[in-house]
Amino acid sequence: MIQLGTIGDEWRRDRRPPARTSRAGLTWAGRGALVALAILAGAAALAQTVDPAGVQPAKPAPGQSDPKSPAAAPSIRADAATQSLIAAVADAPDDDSRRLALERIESAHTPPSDDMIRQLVVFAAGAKGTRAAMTPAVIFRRLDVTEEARVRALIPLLDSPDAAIVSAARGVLSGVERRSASRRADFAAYLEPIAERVRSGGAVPDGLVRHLYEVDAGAAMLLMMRAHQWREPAAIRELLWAEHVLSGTLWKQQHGFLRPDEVEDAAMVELRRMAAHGEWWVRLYASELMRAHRAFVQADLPGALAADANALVRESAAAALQTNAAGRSRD
Amino acid sequence: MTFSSWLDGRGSPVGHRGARGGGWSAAARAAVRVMTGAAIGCGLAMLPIRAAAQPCTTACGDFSGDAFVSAPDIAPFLDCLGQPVDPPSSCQCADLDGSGSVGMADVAVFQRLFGTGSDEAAPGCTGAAPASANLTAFRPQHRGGYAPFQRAAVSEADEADPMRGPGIRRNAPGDVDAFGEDDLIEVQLDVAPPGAALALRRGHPALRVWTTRTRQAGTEIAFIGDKTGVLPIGPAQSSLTLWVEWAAAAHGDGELHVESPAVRTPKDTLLFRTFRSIVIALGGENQVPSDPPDPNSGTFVSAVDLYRAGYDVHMYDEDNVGPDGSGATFNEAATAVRDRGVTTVAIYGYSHGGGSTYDLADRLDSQRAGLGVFEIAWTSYVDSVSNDSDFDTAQELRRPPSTGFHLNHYQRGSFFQDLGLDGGPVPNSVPPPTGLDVETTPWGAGCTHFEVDDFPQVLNLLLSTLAAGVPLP
Repeated sequence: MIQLGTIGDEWRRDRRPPARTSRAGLTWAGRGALVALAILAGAAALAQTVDPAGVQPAKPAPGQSDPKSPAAAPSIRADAATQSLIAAVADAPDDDSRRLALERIESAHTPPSDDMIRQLVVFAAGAKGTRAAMTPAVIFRRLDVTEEARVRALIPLLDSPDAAIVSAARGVLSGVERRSASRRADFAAYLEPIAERVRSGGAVPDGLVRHLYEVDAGAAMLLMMRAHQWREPAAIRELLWAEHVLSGTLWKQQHGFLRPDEVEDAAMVELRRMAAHGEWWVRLYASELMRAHRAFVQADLPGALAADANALVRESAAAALQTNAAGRSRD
Repeated sequence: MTFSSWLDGRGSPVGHRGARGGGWSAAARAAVRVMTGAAIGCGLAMLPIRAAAQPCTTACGDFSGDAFVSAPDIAPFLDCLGQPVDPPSSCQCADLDGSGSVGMADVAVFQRLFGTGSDEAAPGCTGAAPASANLTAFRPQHRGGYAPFQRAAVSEADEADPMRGPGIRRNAPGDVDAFGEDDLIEVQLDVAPPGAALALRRGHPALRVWTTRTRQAGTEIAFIGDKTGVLPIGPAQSSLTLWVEWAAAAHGDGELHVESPAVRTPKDTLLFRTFRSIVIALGGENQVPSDPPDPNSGTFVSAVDLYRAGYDVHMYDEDNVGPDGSGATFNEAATAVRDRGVTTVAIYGYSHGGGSTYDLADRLDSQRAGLGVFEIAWTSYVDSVSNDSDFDTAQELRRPPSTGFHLNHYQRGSFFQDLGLDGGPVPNSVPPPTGLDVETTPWGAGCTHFEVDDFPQVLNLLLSTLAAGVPLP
C-alpha cells in the first residue's frame, strides 16, 4: 500500500480531530463518510488563522489542534480497494475484462470524488511502465474530471511527504495552467481556492505556494496579490511594475538583449524593493528569482532572506545560496 | 629477389666492411645473418630500399625516419659497423647501447628492436626496450558521470576515425554546464612495462589534458608547444586516467598521441572532433532512461545505439520537459547551442515523449534570438501523445516547429486494447505525406500503443533517417 502520508497543512490545522488514520479495508459507506470528512476538513481549513504580519507561520488558536502533533495529522493512505479497481483496468488480460473494470469504476465514481481523483494520482505515482502510468490518465478522462475538481482535490497532495506523489500531483495540475513556449502560466484556476482561504483567514498550503512559485514566480506573486484582495492602486502598481521590470529582464536574457548573466540596474532596484517588502509572498518572489536565476543574486540578499521570518522565504533563500555557490564553483 | 639473396648477390657484408673499415670476423657475419633472418621472420620478402646514411633524427636505429626500426634501416646500420660514432657522424644512430662504438651488442639491440622502434633518440641510446602504450577514449559524460548511459569505450577501429572517433564538446570559458562540468572526455592510458616514461603530443592547441574530471587546480598536464613532459605514471603503475578538454570557442579536430618523451613516434593516436550536433531522446510515461535499456523502451534502445556510434545523445524522462518546453532538457540543448556552438539539434520521443518533443522544439524555436544559429534538423514521433499534463491523453498531431525533417510512426488505438492511446497523422511528415500508420503494414497490423515503439522496422527507419540528416559528430 502506498503511504500518502500527511497531506495539506490546512488539514493539520483543522480544528476537527481526525477520525482515523487509515481507510484501508473500509466499507463503501465508510469510504464515503471519509470522503465527506475530507471535504469538510478542507472547508474548515478556510477558517484557520493567519499571522497578521504575514511573516510567521500560522499558529493554532487556543483549542486548535497542534499542527505538529501526530494526532492532528490525519494520514491519508492509498485506498486498497480503489487501487485494485484501477489496477484491474491496467492489468486486464483482455478487452472484456478491461471493459468490466472500467464500468465498475464509472458506476462507483461518477461524478468522481476528490478522493477518487487523489487515488488516481497516487496510482500514477507508483506505476511501473507506460501502460500502468497512463491508465489513471485514461480513467481521469472517462470520469470527465473538471478543472475545479482537479485543483480542489490535488492541492492537498502537494504537501505530501512522498516526493513521488507531489511530483505526480504537479504533473496533473500543469494541465490547468495552460503553459506553452509562447505563453506564461495561467494560474486562474487557483485564484478562487486561494482567495477563499485568505478571506476566511486560512493559510495557503505550503506545497501549493512552492509549486506556483517554482512554475512562475512572477505570476504566482501577482496571483497572491489578487487573492489577498488588495485595493490600493499605488500598492498594486508597485508590484505590477516590479514584476514587469524583472520578468522583462528574463525576457531580454532569453532573447539575447542581455547576456544570461546580465541584469540591468533598474531590475536590481526592483528586486531589492521586493526583497524588503512587508508581505512574505512578495519577499518569496525575490528569493525565488534568485534561486532560479543566479544572475539576480546580489551579495547580501540571499543571506538576509535566509533569516526571514517566513519559513518558505527562508527555505527559498537557502536554496538560492546553494545555487549561487554551485554556480560559482562551476565558473 | 629476397632480402637474403640480395645480401648474397651484393657480396659479403664483411667484404663491404673490409673495404671501408677493415676486416670483420665470422661472428659479425653471423650476426648479420641473424639480422637477415629476423628481417625475413618479420615478413620482409622484398628487396629493401637502402636508405642513405644521414643524421639520425628520430629514434635510435631508425635511419629512414619512418618511426620504425625496419628493413630500410638495415643497410645504413651495417654501414656503421665499426665506424666512429663521434658527432656529427650519422652512426650515432647505430650506437644502440650507447657504448661509443657500433658492434655486436648493437646488433643484438637492433635485432630486438626490429619491427618496432626505440623510445630513445641518439645520442642518448641505452638499448632499452621500447614501452607499449594504448589510449582508450570514452563516449561523453553526463553530469557527474555517465548515467543514464554506461561508460562506453570508443573501439580501437574507430578511435582515429573522423566520424566515429571520440567526439568532444567545446568547453570554452563561459560555457554553462547545467549540471556541473561534464564536457571532458575520459581517456585511459595503458602502458607496459609499468611506470614507462611516456608523453603526449597534441595536434591542436585547444586540446588540454587533466588528471581530474573537474579540472582541479594543479592537475593539468602542461604542454610545452605540442608536447608534454613525462606523464605522471608511478613506477608500478600500468594505467593512467586522463581527462581531455577542448578549451576553445571554435570547432576543430585534433589528434592526441602517446609516445616516448624523446621521439615523435606515436604509439597510439586518438582523433578528437568537436560535437556540432546534439540528440535528445524522450521516453514515454514512466519509461526510465537506462543502459542497458529496457527492451520495451525502444526510444532508449535506439538512444544507446546512437551514443555508442558517436552521437552526443541525452536521454531524458519526458517529464523533464515542461508544458512550456522549459526544464533540464531545454537547458541542456540551450547551452549546447549557445555555449558549445552546436548547430544541429535532433529530438525524438514516444507517447508523452512525442508531446514533449513538440514542446521542446517549440521553446527552442521561440528563443532563437537568445541562443544562436542552429537548425532543428530532425525530429521524430512514435505514437505521439500531447503532454500538457501527466494525464493528457490527446493525440499530438502538430509538426514540431521549424523542424527540417519529421519522421512519424503511429497506430490506431482501441479503448479496450490499449486504452485508446495513439498518435496520428502529422502534416508534412516522413513517410509522406503524414507519416506511417504501422497498422497498415504486414509487420505492424494489430499492434498497440505499448509495443509500437519497439518494432525493429520503426527503430531502423528512425536510426537511418537520423544518420542521414544529422552528420557525426
